[in-house]
Amino acid sequence: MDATFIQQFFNALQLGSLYALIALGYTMVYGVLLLINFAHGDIFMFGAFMGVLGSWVFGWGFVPTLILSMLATALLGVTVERVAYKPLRAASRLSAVITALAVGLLLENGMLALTGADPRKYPDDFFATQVYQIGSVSISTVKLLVIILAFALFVALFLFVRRTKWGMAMRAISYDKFAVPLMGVSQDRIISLTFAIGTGLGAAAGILWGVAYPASLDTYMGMLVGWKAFIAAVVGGIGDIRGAVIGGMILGFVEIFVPYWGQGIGVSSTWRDPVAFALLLIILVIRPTGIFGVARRQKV
Amino acid sequence: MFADLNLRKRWAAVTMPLREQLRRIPTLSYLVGLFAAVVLEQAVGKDFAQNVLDFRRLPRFFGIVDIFEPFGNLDFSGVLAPFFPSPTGLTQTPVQDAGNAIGQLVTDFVNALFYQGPRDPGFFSVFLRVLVYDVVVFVIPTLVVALLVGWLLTHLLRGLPGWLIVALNVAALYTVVALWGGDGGTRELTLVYMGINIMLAVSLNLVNGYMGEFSVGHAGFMAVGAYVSSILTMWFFTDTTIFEGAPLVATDSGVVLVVGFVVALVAGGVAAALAGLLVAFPSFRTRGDYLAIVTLAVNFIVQGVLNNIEVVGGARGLNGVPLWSDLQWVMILTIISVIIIYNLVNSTYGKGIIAIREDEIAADLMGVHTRQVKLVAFLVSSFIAGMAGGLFAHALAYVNPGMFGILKSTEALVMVYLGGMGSISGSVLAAVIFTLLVEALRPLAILKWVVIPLILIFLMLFRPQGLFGFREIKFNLRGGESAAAAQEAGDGTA
Repeated sequence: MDATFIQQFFNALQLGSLYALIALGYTMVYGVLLLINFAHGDIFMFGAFMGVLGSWVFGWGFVPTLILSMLATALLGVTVERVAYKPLRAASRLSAVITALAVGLLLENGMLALTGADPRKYPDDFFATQVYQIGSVSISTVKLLVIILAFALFVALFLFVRRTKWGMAMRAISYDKFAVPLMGVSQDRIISLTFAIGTGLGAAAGILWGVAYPASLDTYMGMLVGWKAFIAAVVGGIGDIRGAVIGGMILGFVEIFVPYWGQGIGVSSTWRDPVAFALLLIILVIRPTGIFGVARRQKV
Repeated sequence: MFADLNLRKRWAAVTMPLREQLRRIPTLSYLVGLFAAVVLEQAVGKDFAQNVLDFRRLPRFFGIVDIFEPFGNLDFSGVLAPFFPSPTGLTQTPVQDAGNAIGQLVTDFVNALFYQGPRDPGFFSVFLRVLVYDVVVFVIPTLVVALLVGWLLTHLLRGLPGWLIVALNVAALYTVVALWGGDGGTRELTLVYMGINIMLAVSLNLVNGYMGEFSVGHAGFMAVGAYVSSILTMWFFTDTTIFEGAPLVATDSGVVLVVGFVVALVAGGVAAALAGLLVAFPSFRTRGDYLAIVTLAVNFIVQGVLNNIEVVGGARGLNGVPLWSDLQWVMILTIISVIIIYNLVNSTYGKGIIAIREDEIAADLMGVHTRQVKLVAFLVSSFIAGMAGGLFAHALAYVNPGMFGILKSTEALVMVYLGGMGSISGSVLAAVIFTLLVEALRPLAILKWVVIPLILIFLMLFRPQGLFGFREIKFNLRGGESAAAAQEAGDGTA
């Protein structure tokens, strides 16, 4: 194993962690509401922009900005759910999906109209980067931060969903949403909590994305990334937390290693997206409900 | 309050005979009326607009393009920019700056409403004059002529077979639109987009509305059709550097060009249908949200592949596509597409498509060959999308992969759900409204894409089934009793 391979491995791990963090937002909402929250990519964008507010205007460091962004974005997510999705719970699922698409368009274009199109980035001292040399492999602290923080959040979320009463209520709602209110658990409160956690994780991903790829901060940043993360969530089996992590990782690795191995056989790096999507398509054809997804049996 | 109620009642009572009359005359008489109005506009419209109503030019598209123009120079970007600054735009007093921006915005908005200058009279003035123009030039002449010819047409149409009446209506519609819109300018271009949007909406409705699947990648098929037909027409008929210079078929013969364009469009449609197989085969096993991903992925794959084929220009796109999609082509193909879809979903075979939406397993048990039906639905849908793409390319004279992204697919979805799933007339009307809305809001620049989603959200909150739900608009084709009453009497075969 040569040095560039290890380097690419870490790049892939970083990208995969970010996709996975975003995918978690899709998958949690889907697990509870069976709603594809197409606005999630733009909520991720909002999180990254809250980082601009915290770092430049308030002059805060990384950790307080991260917390501010996660809280503010969670508030946005809960508000969106209350205003736009809740009235549609009884309507056909597709009208909720269309509403989600519209909310996404509204967020990204509203943000552009209200803040202008100047290119933005975080301050240089927002997260001081150091590069460690291990043999001939160099790893930056940003990469380590992204990977470690993402994994810490996965573990925390997994334990939350598996070990706490709130988590149990979430799983219960996705299992049978009519029985849960009968047990004295407020459905609305659990759904709000789910949105808060999912969008909060999206905000964390937004800040980390802005730190890892400084040139990408604009109001449309969530569009393509959001769709990709959504596909990652589905490939993993939407509604399943492990699935989101695995799906995000698969996507990250494909996107990094297709150009890396492609060089040798004359495939240019711009083939990255089509190859990644084709691979996902093949996975879905082989396993129609994703890797961890369980087919819902239909009673006849 | 009560007086108000009384007035409304009295108004209703006074206009009752008129409204009853308007309901009884056949659809064709309205088209004749519109024809008269269009002739009137061409004769005196310009004089009336410029000399009487003080417009600088003829109101564009019934004036809807003009009414939002006063808002064109509103700048919202200062409101939040101080809080989300770029490194160069950093300010010490964000709250004050935002306050100033808001103050400026309010002033600008009030000016835009009332008065901007001697030649820019503001929204209300434009709106009122547009209203007067439309009522005087279009509404009144249309209604008067319609009432005049209504009685006559009711008698003339009596006894004619249903298909002939439909054909007459279509021909009349075609004449009116061609006369009104064939100006070779913005009117024609808007109508061309409208036709293409109708084709997209109707074909997507077949899959999303009637079959109940959730396809979110319709623009991918459009892209395939656009590229294949453009390559063919450029290769065979134009002098281009991309495909070895000189055209393969050097001809000025109109017949050859027409046949060539038809072949190219059909080839584009067939290629798009082949791409549709990429969705159709997975749909045998995959359903619902997972199939949505398949369509999404196919859209991204098509876009990505086109981005990477250097022969067709890669991300830069194809330049120099012949400008062949005029109003006639688009109208004819739009009408054909709508008829194909309408007949398909109303045929016995089409009942199978609807049965799949209601319950796939039950449909299978009842003898619907679900795989074949799905295959046909996806093929027809993507074929028409591909034809629409071909027309689109030949209307713009230019294509690039970026045009056929998720945003375009979203537009198609918006039209389908705006009109109502499972309503063809709803889709057509939604495509018309959407195209007009996009044109009307064009002066607002980026705000356009704030207003349109807002409208959509409110629509979904208050009318989640779309404008028409699963119903169709009823036309009173024969005249006489209203269509609903005729159907109750067991006579509704038209």
